[in-house]
Amino acid sequence: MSGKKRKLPTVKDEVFEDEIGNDDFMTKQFDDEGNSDSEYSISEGEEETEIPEDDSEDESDDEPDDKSAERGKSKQVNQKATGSKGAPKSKNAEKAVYNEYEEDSSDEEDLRNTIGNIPMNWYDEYPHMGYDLDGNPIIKPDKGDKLDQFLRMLEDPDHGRTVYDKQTGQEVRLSDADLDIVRRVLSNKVPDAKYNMYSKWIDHFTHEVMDMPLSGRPEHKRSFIPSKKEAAYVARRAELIKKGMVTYKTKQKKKRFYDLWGTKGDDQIRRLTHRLETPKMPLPGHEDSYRAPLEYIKEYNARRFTSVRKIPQFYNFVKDRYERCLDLYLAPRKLIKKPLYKADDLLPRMPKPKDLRPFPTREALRFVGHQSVVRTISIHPLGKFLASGSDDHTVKIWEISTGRCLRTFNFQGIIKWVAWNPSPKLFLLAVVVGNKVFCLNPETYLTDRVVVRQTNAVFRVEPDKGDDQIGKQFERVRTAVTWRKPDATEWSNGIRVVLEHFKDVKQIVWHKQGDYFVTVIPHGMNRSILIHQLSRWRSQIPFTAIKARIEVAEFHPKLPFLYVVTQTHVRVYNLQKQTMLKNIRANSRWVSSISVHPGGEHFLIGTFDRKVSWFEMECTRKPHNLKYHKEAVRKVAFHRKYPLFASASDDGRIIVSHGMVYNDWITDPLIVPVKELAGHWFLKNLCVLDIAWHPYEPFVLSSGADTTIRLWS
Amino acid sequence: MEEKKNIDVLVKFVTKQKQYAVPGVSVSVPADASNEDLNEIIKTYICQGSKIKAADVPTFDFIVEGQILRRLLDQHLQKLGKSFENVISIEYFERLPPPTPKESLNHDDWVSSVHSTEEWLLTGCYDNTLHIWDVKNLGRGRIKDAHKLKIPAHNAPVKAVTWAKTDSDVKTFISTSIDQSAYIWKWDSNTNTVDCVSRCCGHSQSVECVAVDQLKGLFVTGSWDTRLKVWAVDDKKQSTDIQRDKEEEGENKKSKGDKVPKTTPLLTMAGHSETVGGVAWTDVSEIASASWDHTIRIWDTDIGGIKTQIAGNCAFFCISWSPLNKTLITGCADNYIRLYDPRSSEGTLCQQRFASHTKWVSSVSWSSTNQFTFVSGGYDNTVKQWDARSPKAPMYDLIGHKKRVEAVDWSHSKYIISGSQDCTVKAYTAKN
Repeated sequence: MSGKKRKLPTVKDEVFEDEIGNDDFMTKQFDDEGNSDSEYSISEGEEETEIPEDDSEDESDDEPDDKSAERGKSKQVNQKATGSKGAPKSKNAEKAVYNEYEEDSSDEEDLRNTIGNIPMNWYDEYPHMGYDLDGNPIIKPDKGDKLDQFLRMLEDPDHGRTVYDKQTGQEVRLSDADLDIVRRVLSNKVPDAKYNMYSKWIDHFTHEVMDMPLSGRPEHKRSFIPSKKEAAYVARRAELIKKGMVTYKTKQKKKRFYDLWGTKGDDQIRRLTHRLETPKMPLPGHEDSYRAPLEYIKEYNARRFTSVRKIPQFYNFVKDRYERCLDLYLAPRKLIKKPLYKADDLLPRMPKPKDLRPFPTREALRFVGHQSVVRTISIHPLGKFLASGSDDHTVKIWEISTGRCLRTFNFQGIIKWVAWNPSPKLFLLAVVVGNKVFCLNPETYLTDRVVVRQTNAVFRVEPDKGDDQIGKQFERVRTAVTWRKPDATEWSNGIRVVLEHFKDVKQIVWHKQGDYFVTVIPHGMNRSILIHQLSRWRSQIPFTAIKARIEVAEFHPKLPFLYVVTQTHVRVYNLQKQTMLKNIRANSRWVSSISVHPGGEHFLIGTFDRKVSWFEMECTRKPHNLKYHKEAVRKVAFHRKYPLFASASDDGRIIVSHGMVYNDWITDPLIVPVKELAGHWFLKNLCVLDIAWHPYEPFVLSSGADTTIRLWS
Repeated sequence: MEEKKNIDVLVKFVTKQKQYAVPGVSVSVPADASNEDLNEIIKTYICQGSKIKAADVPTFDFIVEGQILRRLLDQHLQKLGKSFENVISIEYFERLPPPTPKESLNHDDWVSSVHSTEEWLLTGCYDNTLHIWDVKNLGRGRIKDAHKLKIPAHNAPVKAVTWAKTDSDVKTFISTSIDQSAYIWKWDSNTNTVDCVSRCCGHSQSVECVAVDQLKGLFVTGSWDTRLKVWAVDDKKQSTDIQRDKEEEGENKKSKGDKVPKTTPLLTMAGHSETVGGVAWTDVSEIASASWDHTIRIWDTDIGGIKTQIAGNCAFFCISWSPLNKTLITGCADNYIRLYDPRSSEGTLCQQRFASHTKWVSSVSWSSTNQFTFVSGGYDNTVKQWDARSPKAPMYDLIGHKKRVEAVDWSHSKYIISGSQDCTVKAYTAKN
């Protein structure tokens, strides 16, 4: 066997020998291996038996991987074989040149059996096993019988490392290196012992970007010169965009998926924008509880139950739920939108009172001297004097700047009303006492002597009353009022003319020019308004149709209109045309006073049912009802210069309000209550009885039941 | 806040009173020093530097940044918006002693006006009379000695009085009244006789105020008829016509008016739209008038017209001019006293506003000797002594009147005189 074995490679070896020859290196290598072999066989005796077993397994599995591995093995085996064979020859040709191709043998060269990749058992019945390159059959080496094999096994020290080559039918002795590889593979190591798995990593092509340019070539000129072509393109595009010929369609990303469970903003996606939440059921309480704790039971007087079914609420549970579902399903529900604004937003923005100065804020002066309730006051149009009429039957003239009483006039009765003549040419005070109206000239030093003299001159002679002294109309007037010249004592007391009416007079109103005045007789039935002419001592009854009780009257500040106030209505008459312009419902049961705005387009009404109402002449808007008084409103008054008005009430307060009127006919008047003045004392539910504004200063004067007059500044 | 407690500020004490001068070194005082603390500090300084005993050192007031220190130093500086870090110069001066009530002179009716010289006090009363009092005898318990003369002068309440010439024994004074006239009187202090020189007719309403220019011998009256009239105190060519119309004769029965020669105004100046409440001569031919029409006007008597106009926002009741500091103070209907400087370019602006009165300020008067102090009387029954450098609070409140104060006067160097509606004139001693 060994002879044959040797024979086969020799053919090749010789060829190699001729061509290449052997050198010392190879010989030495071989020697080294030989030495190590012995060591190995001793130490790794166990593996020797294993290796053939592996081989047999390989044989049974026809996997190509195994084959190639086998081929690799066989190659190595061949190398060794050549080495072993070549060793003696190398001695002969020691000086031969080292052949670099010696080890570089290919499988093709090495493989002498040329039958291809077929199972070797096909040759089991033949004495040969394949063919060599020359086409001669390769005769199977003689294996010998079992006894021979056994003997060989005993004899051959390398038996453990000898493997059978199926392809060639030869037995190959594995070198130490081969064994090492086998051993490494079996222990799942890298077959190549020299391979260092943990060698240091040399980062030849680093991931880090280096600053150094790849080439030292200077950059090309066009890299920094703006491209003309591109510029032209941009210009062209820009022009097109300017002309509007380019429109960009921005692609809107369609949201393919929506967040099914999300809460924010995807109600719209789910089409649940106006989803109506079902009304929530009340949470079950302790009474629905099965075995509530004892403390709650006491509290709610509930019972404990042995099972849930026995809780009374659960008898009808299913039915109740079913009915609820029916309710929800059948009963239409509607979403009612509540307004977002708050109640405060509905109110107009009010300026702060401190921005609306000046207005009276505190008591500045107190006019003390009357013995009884001061019922009425009137301020001289020049703003120097104040006349006041009191229940102590006196009229007093006061100096406003100091609070000094300058003159006192006594009368036989309660003074109902005082009113200064507004004319600058007359110094005259009208005083109403009972059914009489006295025209009083306080005279002396109080005002310009010329005016005083003029006033006296007016009344010295009785004027010619004209020729309309007869007739039915005259008779009615004559029975209603008589003009009388005062007697000597009355004259010396300052009284210049006396008008005696048929019934008690309540009020006297001067026309702004000071010649005409109106007296109001509340119980005068259809003669309750009388218009008098001072210069001619003549009276007339303008309205015959009025049947209601007339409370007060007022002249329009600019036009020849007269406001006549009944208990519930305000009637505006044009005196020139003798027609009624308006009949305005006052929205009240009992009007107490009226004040016309100096502009003439608005007027204020104070009522005994605690209201102050701001009316517009044109009545285009609803009247502003100011309900800040707690008791009946006695008097309202507009300031002549400042946008102020005041109202006095039986609750003891004077409320000063800012009342700005705009000329544009659109803007609503701005009404802001700015100050509440209180200080008068009560006397039998009476407190403030009359108020009057200073003609040009923001001072309001008030007279009260506490016998004082106060100036608020 | 706690930090501030520990802050010290550097201050430098200066004074104009040389006897109390201290070395001008910066001293560190606690920031929350009060008036009393500073007084203690300054007292020790003065005692260290000189022979003055601690007991003799008076109490001082301190001026910090132009205003008198009335609260704690840090609050004061904070209020004025000044830094704590710079060296603060604090001027101190001897505090004026509080005025003490000296005398109360009873009248029969409301006292409307007072004016005093160094020797004589003139008061006008609502019972149409004028009174002359001897200032020397005030406060000695001898009111009868003090009262020299009662003159039934007018037909109506007297509104204003003023001394015109006091250099000789025969003194001239002027009184105005609601009866639309002003009278010039001559009073011989030796014989105690009074003579009505002339009756100034021309106003058509109550004559509210009067002011005299000593140099030219002129006086100006302001009236309810909104006009100012300038008259001569010594009118050489007094109108001799004594004729009067019957109307007036009837009114002036009790007065000896028919013998009194009438004078006419030298100049009438119209411009105000409402009552003239107060007038003052600000220069030889310059008048300042305060009116209810919310303006103060400066008039030139040479040309007879308005020079400048200061517009306020409330009625002015009274005005006072100080020749020492050349400023005007006015009493207003909104309870403030306002200080104006008519010379400054922003003369229309109120320079200071003194708030303390709770009712109308009816009268104001500068001190005749101190350029910083003035006195005011209001309808809140009080007289207040002010320092112009302390606008937030008066120096002293002089309480005593039971009714509205109508007139105050500080022409006398020692006395503050006030007349009130409680029918008294009260004199307070006040060191200027």
